[in-house]
Amino acid sequence: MDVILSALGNILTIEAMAVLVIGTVAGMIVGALPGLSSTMGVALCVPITFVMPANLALILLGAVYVSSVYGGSITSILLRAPGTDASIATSFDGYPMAQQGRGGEAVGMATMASLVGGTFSVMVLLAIAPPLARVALAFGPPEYVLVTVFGLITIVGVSEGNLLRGFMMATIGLLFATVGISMFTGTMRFTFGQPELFEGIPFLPILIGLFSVSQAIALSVPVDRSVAEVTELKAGERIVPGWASMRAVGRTLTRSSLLGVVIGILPGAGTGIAAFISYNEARRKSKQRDQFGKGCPEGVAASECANNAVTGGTLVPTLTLGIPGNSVTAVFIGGLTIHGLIPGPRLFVDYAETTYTLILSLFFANFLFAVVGIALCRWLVKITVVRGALLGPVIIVFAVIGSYALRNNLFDVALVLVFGVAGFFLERWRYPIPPLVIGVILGKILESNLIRSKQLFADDWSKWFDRPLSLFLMVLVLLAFGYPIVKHYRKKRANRDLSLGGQR
Amino acid sequence: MKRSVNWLEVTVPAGLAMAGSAIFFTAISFPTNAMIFPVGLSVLLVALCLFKLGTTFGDPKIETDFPLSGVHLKRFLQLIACMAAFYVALKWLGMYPTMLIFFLSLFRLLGGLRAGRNVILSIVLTVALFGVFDTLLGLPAPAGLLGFLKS
Repeated sequence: MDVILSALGNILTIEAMAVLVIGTVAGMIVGALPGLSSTMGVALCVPITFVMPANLALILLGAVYVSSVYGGSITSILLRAPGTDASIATSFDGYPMAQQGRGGEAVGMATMASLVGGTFSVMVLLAIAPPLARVALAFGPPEYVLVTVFGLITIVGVSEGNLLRGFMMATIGLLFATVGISMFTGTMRFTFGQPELFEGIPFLPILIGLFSVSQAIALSVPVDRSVAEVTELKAGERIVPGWASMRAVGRTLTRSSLLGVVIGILPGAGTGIAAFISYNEARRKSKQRDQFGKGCPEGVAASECANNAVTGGTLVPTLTLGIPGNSVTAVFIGGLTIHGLIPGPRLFVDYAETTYTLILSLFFANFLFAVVGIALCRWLVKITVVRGALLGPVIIVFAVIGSYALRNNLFDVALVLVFGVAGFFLERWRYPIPPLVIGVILGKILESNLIRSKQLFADDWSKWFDRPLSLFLMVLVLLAFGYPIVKHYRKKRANRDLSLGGQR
Repeated sequence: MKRSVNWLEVTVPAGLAMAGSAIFFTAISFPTNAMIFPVGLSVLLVALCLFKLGTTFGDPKIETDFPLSGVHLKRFLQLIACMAAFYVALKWLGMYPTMLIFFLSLFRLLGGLRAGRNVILSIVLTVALFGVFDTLLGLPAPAGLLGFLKS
């Protein structure tokens, strides 16, 4: 309890509140701009936090994360231009509502649903992360190997239609992590005599390059797109929904919050998937099923509640096991490590105050984005008229400044630019980037624990089966490995049957 | 539509398989504990790439990739040239003068801004970023040959 009160004290300072407001507004702008993702927003902020105390740094990153997920909903409703994939499902009913002159009602519903989902997920994070971390303290090297493999496989598994490419990318990511001096033998591996590579390829420049610079290139290359027609909000239009409106979507909010948190905890599935699943479930269970897609507030509530409920969920495996649930939390791990915080069960023991400061700040960030969102939604829409060709160079400059600041090293700047170009082509060629990034992050954990297990059991691999926790995790790994493959071949067979049927 | 093997589906896995083989032959000379992981991964990478090549030839897909061409290729090359020049100039000119030139070039080439607007926007952005990153946050940046002006 003392730790929680101290954490609360860290947040209730003028500096922390200012950082919270800046992070919230910045996150909302990133979320609102089509082409910019939450991952990119957090990745660009990580180097900036380098000069901040750890508490303020994590408050900023948390605020950017949760508010960017919400930020996309406003442009999704008023422009049908979802800022992030998390808000695509919101546009199905939000935009028709705006066309019917109910834009204010839709924005209000999205805001309140995001607040409910986000707050619920933080409560779940607060309730289950500390006990889960205590369980994880019992993990030995074999269990860490299995948990890491489980995380990697589930992330590859959600690379829909790209299973093989996903595995290839994860393997390349793991290979990148082998660069540098071997921690067991002191051997130089793949360093090519470059002193900058002796400690391994720094993963923050890789993240910034793959997620920020690649998007900046993708924004700059096309000839500027025309912006969709803006559906203006009427002057004086009521935005905050009434009690009756909220009661009408109560069940949907409960279901979507639960779905979002569960999907968030599972590695791999992100805000977009949660929003789609939740939207479909809401339509399936609704009495107004036929109104979905024509301007139903329940559809907006389902999608927005679930995507914000994911945010707290994804931080559960990140903070307790050090396994990033998605690409945003992978960047988050970068933010933690530059402040000397190693994600994993010890985080709740060694850095409890800082960890609880992050968790509690997410509560505040959720309330803040609701207030700022309602106040600024009219102006936020106007930001989307900024052309990609003007935004791209600014993002590249941000990435360069940030990457140089990490180690005062131009080599890191070169890495950012090279990985940016590589990321641009990987996206175009449909090679999924998240498995690559997660591979880079988990590579060192996987290798060190694999070699430790080998030493622990004196090369007797059968000893892995003597540990009940290992056995349980092995079953999980097998299920995670088998499910996407079975699903892939079932889908392929169904498609073949369909085409054969068509030919007949 | 013509059903053909997409060249990208062949060259990318083939290139990765060759890289995997090179990693394998480099890593087998490492001591055991440093070798296990990279050797295992390189074998896995080569196997995955060969499997990918097998599926590509076994089931050719309709051409779906759009290589950069025409105006897009021109814009891409302009951007890459500016990024490379930015990187090279950083060491000599320092972060903020290089940034100003970078903005001026790209806003003109890609943004199509008129000279007056371009200059104003580039200067405003550079000054704003200098204010935030240098003055407010104190982030280190390459000073370049003009670094003495700051001190």
